[in-house]
Amino acid sequence: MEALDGLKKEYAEILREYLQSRDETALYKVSMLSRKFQEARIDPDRILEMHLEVFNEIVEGMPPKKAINAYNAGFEVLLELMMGYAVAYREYVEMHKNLYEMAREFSEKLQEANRLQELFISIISHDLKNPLTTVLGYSELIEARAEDEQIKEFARKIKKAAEKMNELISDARTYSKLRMGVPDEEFKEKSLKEVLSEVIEDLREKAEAKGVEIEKAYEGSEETYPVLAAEFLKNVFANVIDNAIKYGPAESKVIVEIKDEGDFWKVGVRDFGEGVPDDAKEAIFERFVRNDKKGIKGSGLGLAIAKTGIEMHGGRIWVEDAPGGGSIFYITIPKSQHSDKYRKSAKRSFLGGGRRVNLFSSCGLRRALLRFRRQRQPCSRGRPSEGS
Amino acid sequence: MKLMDDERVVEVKSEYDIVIARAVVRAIAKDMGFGLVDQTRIATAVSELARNIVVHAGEGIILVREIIKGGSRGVEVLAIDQGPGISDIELVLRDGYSSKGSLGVGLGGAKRLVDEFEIKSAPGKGTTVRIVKWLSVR
Repeated sequence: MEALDGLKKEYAEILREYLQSRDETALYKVSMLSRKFQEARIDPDRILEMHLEVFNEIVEGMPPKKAINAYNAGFEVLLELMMGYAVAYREYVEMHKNLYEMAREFSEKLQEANRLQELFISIISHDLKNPLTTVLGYSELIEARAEDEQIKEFARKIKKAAEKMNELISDARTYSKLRMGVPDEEFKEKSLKEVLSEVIEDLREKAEAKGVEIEKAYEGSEETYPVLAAEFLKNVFANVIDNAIKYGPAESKVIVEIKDEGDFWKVGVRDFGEGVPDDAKEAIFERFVRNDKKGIKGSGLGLAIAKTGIEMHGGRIWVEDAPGGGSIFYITIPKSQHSDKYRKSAKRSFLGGGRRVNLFSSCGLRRALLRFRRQRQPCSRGRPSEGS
Repeated sequence: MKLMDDERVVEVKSEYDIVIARAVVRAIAKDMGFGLVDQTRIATAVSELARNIVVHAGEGIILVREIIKGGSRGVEVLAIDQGPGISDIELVLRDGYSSKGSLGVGLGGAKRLVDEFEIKSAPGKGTTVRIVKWLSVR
């Protein structure tokens, strides 16, 4: 309030001057002063308060008749101040309107660019799959039919590389599809327990090959843990549990637990690996970031897929250090009866067809943007024709 | 200087003349029956026109008169100078533009305070601004 103190002093001087002289000069001066009040972001009510404080000080001890005259003259000064203030304020608002327009245009362009990018990934990955199938098929054929051991070995290497590529493409495709949004009708009532069982069953072979045992530790084991889930939920857990197997040491355990946490079910996936360094705990959920470890294969999209996927379900994912070494990945998902509420709030941060735009921290602006888009493009989910 | 009964001219050369211009227009507006708020609006706008003359042209004149059109009475103010003129009028009227380096409300701000606002200017040809505030009949 230092700004106000200084301005108050200036104002008091001018007011005093006008009450004595009734001269236009003072009104001119106060008109010039008004902008400073706006620039200092002093609220109008504070200005009125200031006027009264200053005025009362001046008229104290005046004979009543003189005080009444002074009151009217004082009002003229206040009016002059508020008039200039109002004009400055309107200018300020106009300027922000212009900024807002610019931000909106920029954001629209960005969304369009994002949409095209996702579409591009989706199409390219689809187009890559066909030739890759040929490579895979023929390398298998060569491996089976070749007599020369060395040629067999070459064919195996080609096949392995092609499989890896296939996996990468699938990940990229899944991710880009996911970013384009999942329609509400794809969310169905499911048992989290069953989803997890399916995932664990799918991964059992991989785990056993590494001598890793997957242990289930469910709280209240008779519970089915109902959730509203898209087909996609499986990928979320598959990516996390697959990671735990990959990053944990051979001949160890992966523990999968479920806990009841208010509106949510909380799933923990614990491994006995080296853990995730603190500075990487958030970054690993970003696209193409991997906590480097030699000999570990993957596209680096796994956790990004898991994060986007679980957020669409209204849940969260994060990682903590496990007591006694290793890490625990926690995933929360709303219980089915609370799903709508949390999915709605998750959706709010996805603009348009599910692309997140973190340009604005201001919630109001984001909501306004959302409204604006809805008006112009009624509910476009932005799904390109699939499998094209 | 008094030309006609209801027409006044103020020569504007210094900040002091800005105050005179304000006082003149305020007096006329008051006589015509404008309320205190409108008086203040007009004075603030004229203040800006006059400041514009002093800052950009150095000198000029302000003409104030009462006008009657279609049964409405209003106060008309002309601000005329032979200064460098304005090449981009739209830019000058943009909000916040003239606030750079000056404390006034700017021409854009002045425009908002009156009912009519016209500006004629070209580089090297000086600037003429005309504003009107109508006396609303209640």
